[in-house]
Amino acid sequence: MKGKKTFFIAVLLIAGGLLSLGYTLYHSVIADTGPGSQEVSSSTLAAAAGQAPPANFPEMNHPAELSIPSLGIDAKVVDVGVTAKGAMAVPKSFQQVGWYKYGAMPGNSGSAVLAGHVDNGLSLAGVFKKLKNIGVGDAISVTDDAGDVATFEVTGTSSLDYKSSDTSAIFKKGGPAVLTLITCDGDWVQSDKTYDARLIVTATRVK
Amino acid sequence: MKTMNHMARWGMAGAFMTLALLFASAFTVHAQTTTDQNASTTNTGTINTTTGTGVGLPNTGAGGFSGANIAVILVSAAAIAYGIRLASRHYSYE
Repeated sequence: MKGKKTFFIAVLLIAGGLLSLGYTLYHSVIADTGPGSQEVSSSTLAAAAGQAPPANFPEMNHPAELSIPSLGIDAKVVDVGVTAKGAMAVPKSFQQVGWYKYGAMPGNSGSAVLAGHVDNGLSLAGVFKKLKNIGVGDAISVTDDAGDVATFEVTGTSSLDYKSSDTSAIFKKGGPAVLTLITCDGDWVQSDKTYDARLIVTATRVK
Repeated sequence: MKTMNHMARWGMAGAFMTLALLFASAFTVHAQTTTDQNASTTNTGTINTTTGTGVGLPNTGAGGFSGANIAVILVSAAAIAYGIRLASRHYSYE
């Protein structure tokens, strides 16, 4: 009888512990779960245009991998769209990079936007944790599904307020082949569950 | 011998909890993109995906742990570890 009671208490402890642990872990890694935070479907949003690359560069296809040798970054690239709040969505994994699928293909005409996490809810480093250390002239490579590689050279970095609405240059279509990398920067804003700035790295295609 | 069993049970419970936490941290994800919605529900109305205007900046951080989260996790982990210890003791008696 005593054994059964002990076992029952053990099960209760384990189940209760797992429930509270799971709940806390789940909610600690969600930066934005309010209404409208989910990605909207592409049913009425035009998918990425396949703009031609600028002259002298081979056309690139769907991006698959991103590499920044100077920072030791090698990451898988996944498609992301727009959240119902109207922001660029982000990858499910903090170790992957999201490509804004309604924008330009990396290496082709226009600004191709790639975003990655700076951290997760366990304070573990995200794929772009070291992005703040990138310098002008550093090389960035994007490999597409066909195995072709477009190489970019960093031309500048900047920091934008997270509520900035003037993002037309970042998501620009047409013009030179520009690669734009985005991650979080600044201080954590608990009320909005996000950082108060975004680090913007721009690079132009050189090969 | 009893001390060895005692330590082994706690060791197993601790190892299990460590593995569980590592597993959870390895697969923690950002939940923004987990559910697709119909685009008609978007409340922005200003996005023009043809020109690229009106798109907001992505939320690329989760901010790390708060003290409350750490406390809850530690208590939860302790509860699970103690539960495992009790369970293993129960089975060792049978």
